[in-house]
Amino acid sequence: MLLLMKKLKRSKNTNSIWRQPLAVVGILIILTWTILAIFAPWIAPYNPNSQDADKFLTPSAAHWMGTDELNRDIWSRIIHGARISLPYSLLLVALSATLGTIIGAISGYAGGKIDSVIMRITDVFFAFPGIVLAMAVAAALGPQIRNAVIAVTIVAWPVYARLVRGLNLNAKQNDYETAYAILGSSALRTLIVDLRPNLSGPVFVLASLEVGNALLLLSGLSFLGLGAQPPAAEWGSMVSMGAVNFDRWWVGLFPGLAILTAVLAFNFIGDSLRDALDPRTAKALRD
Amino acid sequence: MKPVSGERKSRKRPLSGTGFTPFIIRRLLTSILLVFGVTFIAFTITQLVPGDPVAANLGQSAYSDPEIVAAFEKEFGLDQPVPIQYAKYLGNLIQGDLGISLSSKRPVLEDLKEYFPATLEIALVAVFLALIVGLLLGIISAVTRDRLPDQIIRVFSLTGVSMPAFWTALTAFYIFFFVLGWAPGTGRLEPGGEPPPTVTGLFTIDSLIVGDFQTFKQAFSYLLLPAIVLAIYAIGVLTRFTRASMLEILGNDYVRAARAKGLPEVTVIRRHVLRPALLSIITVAGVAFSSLLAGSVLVENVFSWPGLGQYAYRAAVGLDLPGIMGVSMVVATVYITMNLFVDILYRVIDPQMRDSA
Amino acid sequence: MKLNFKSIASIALSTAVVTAGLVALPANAATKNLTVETVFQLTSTDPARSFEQTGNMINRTLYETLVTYKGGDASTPVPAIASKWKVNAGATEFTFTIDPKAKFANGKKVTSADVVFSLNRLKNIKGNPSSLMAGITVSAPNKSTVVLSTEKATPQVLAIVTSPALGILNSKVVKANGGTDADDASTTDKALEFLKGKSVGSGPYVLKSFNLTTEVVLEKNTKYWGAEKAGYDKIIVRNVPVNVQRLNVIKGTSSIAVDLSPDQASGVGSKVNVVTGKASNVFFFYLSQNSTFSEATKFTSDAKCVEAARYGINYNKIVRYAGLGAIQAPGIIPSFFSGALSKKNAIKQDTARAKTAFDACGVKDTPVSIGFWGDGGAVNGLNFGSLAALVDEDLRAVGFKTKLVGAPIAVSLPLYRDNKEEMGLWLWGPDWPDSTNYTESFSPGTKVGLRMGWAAGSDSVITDLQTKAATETDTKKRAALFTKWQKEMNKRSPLIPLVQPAAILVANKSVKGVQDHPIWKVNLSELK
Repeated sequence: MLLLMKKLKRSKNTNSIWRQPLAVVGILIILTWTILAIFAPWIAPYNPNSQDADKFLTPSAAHWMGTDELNRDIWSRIIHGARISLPYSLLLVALSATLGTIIGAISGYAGGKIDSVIMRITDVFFAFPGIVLAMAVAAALGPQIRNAVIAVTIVAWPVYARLVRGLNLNAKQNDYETAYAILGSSALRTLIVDLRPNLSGPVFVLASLEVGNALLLLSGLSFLGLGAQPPAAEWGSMVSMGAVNFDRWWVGLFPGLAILTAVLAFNFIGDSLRDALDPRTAKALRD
Repeated sequence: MKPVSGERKSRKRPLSGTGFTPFIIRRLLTSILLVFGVTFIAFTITQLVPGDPVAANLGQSAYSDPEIVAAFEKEFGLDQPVPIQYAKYLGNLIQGDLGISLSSKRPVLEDLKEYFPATLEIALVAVFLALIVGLLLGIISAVTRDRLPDQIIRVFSLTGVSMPAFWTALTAFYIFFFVLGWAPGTGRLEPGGEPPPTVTGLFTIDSLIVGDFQTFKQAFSYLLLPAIVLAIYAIGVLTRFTRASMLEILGNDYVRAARAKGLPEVTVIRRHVLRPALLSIITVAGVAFSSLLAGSVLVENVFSWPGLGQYAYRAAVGLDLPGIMGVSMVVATVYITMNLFVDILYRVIDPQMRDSA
Repeated sequence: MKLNFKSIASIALSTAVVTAGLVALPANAATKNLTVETVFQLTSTDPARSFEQTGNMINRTLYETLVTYKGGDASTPVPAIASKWKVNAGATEFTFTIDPKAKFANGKKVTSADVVFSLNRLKNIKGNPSSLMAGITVSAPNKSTVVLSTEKATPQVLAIVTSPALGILNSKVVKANGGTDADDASTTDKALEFLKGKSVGSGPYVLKSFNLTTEVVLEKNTKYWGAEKAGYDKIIVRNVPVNVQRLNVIKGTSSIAVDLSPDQASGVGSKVNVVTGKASNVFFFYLSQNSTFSEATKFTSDAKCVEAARYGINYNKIVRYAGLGAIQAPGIIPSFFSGALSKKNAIKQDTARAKTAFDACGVKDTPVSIGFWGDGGAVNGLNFGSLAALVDEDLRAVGFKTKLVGAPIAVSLPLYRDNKEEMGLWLWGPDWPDSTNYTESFSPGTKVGLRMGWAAGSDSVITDLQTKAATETDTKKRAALFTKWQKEMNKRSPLIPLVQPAAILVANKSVKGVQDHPIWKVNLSELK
């Protein structure tokens, strides 16, 4: 979060970002969730896992969002759930962005055969129904939120690879790159040190756009029972409890709203960031 | 949730042969290669992870009997080394044989013939809805850029892509089935409802073919809610894309020229902005369609819709490799075909549009 | 209802139609349909390959067995295809006489050859239910007599014979369509697809259509030979999620909802009957006795550690979660089988005892994992994940550092079967309705015994009781042995029975004869 804000300030387009109301709303929502997640044990009115005799209490003053089948307080569980959903989505994006960037950079820098092989592989991944693969991998590894992250990373990296490779190709055409090459700067150095600043902006924006998707996929896997394990208060698995007992509307409604607000906030930020970028990169991102 | 037009970039690669036929042949070959790539990746990844398909498909008692386990492994070729399993799979694939599903115990092709049309039906309706609504909202958004309608639509479309589909499905089902009683319930037809004779496998089309309007009405009422839920994400995507493509074209010189000529704004938008933008919008719709096929997993789960998504889920948790491969191939083939089709279309319409789009 | 012209007209018209119907009895009178909704546990309608609940329910009515049970009973066999039978003194030979009236749906007589074929096919296909036939040989001295023999005393053969997997097929038709009962039937039998499209049994209903994910439709067998004819023209068994089952049965769009939990069955209103029985499934918890498997099992194999868990669990809380009609499982044998323990024998939570035992067992800070069916798996409305969460909380209170590691069946079952779980939460449903199924499965060195890492020879007292119970033919003595066996199990085994859930059927009041059955859930043939 802090990193994000710093980034926003450093950006040349800072002014326009802060003037975008959606971005501000998004940042405020994410800030709220972050605070809730960090201070969950102090903010949550109940222990998220404490069970007792009753079950399925309707929302009331004592339980704002009602209770579930083990009479656990749903609001408390949602607050604690932020400790799972948010960090793991960010981790997922960080992993796939890193992996994708490395692969894309290699592809763009090496060019020729290596490039076309790598790009064909990303083509295959684009054609692949990611969620099917993610389900199969998560099921086989055994459902744990950690394994769900691995499963989704496997299908999520090609977006970044494609972007980085494209940017790399652009950069390569710049004269100073050629000059570097002539001057004999090492390949690795060119790859890592000199291209980095050019890449970090767009990759960062793409990553911010992907956090929402990551959260959706992770909670979707949990909804299917292939993500977080009980008794963890993961938002997606809480919705699946609501699906089993759907006439108790509060069981599924509120965790779903939690997902929606968090994803929406990330998308508000990502979208605004993209608009704030220069049009050419913005277009590369949209494609 | 991949970028809906990932494939478009490949079009910009310089093509070595310039003729139309070599181009088609090359693209066809690449497409076939892609399909094989998909089988390879599916096979490798599902082999790399642990898990025992035998246990998934035999009950507790049978699983304790080594003889039964051996018979099962032999029947499905699981007793052979992995590379040989893959080679055999490819060999059969070339002959149009996708293997036997471990969970349903019948040819995967038969399974797909049954489940794919169910998903195709809701996905088609969803894309149709998304095209209409998405185009409309996108146009309004573009022409009212940065004004109130644009802002509202932007929030609306962002919300569309931010909603967890499984939750949307659940909420819609709760409201329209449980509270209001408008939606008919789960499945494709009423209990004991006779499906129309299979021609396409799409109940709505098949019932129209035999002139059975009763069944048509029934099938349509059952598919509407899942289709709408599925459409929400696509509407978000298409609205945003339409807006962006139109804005891009609005900034072009020839649009300014058209305006300068004093043409009415409606004409300018319709003739000079919408028409050129339409092709790329349809491209996106096509690719969005194939992502809907895969995305239907979570929606079908809630509506007990007997489609590809449900099948994929059962195959995944059952470690049913032939089933997983079958689903992956269908979805990938649709995706690749869509792209191939669009590529060729671009080429036919205007070779130069490839660069301006 | 507001009376207007249209409604008056329709009333008049329908009165006219009914009157005309009464007078003329037209051939196309409205058919009487029954819609049963359940979450499909179904692979096929081939008896030799089907062992799941929905499959049992459907096959029970398509195919008849030699003997069967009536209503909700699972202890007194009644005639079906066999009109009479006798058992020799050693319980090794079972002779069945085929009812001369018995006919398949195509009008052909049922012969001993059909029985031999069907049972051998089941055995040799080596499918899911084939283990039922383990140790049993079938022979046919003449056209109307069948003999099932075993090497050692096996009193439970009569119970095994009632399983729908032992349904009798028309051998001629099956053979004509690729079926075989040969030794290599596991690879050469090709009748599966045929049997999904058509049934070839002698039951009161025949298969009209089969779909693995949507619905199975049964039709009245117009040539049924038995005294009790089919009550409906058509039975539609639909695959419907539990929550929707509840709504549909309340609305009257379906006749029977099979899978509601007690929670869901409460408040369904007065238009439906709620039939409550006890499920035959027992959920249990165990601690691995394989001391060499991991750091944690060094401790879980310690008797003190088992004691800490046994007395640490809050059984009342689990029973409360399981809802109305559920009971604590005092032993692993369900309440309606011979020798089941009574409530007073049930273990009661004793936190002080648990903590003392825990301190003595030395597990302390070693993390220990609990395996279970994790991807939302639920049986009788009880979710494994929720049950695991309940047990988890109790064990943590005692001091265990537990961690839940649920997984889909495909992943979790092999771990459980191969004794690779430190602790596990599973359930057992009877393969055949007899207590020997439990003594033969949970004693040291037996199927589940080994899964718990409990090797043969670990407990001579329990093994001794198991052996005695297996060959005892006197009903009373058998029951006493089963009781004794369970009491000893509760003292020294790694097995901790948790809960026997309620089995609930919610049915429209128009449906008569609804009873819950431990093996086939509901006997569709008896519904009127």
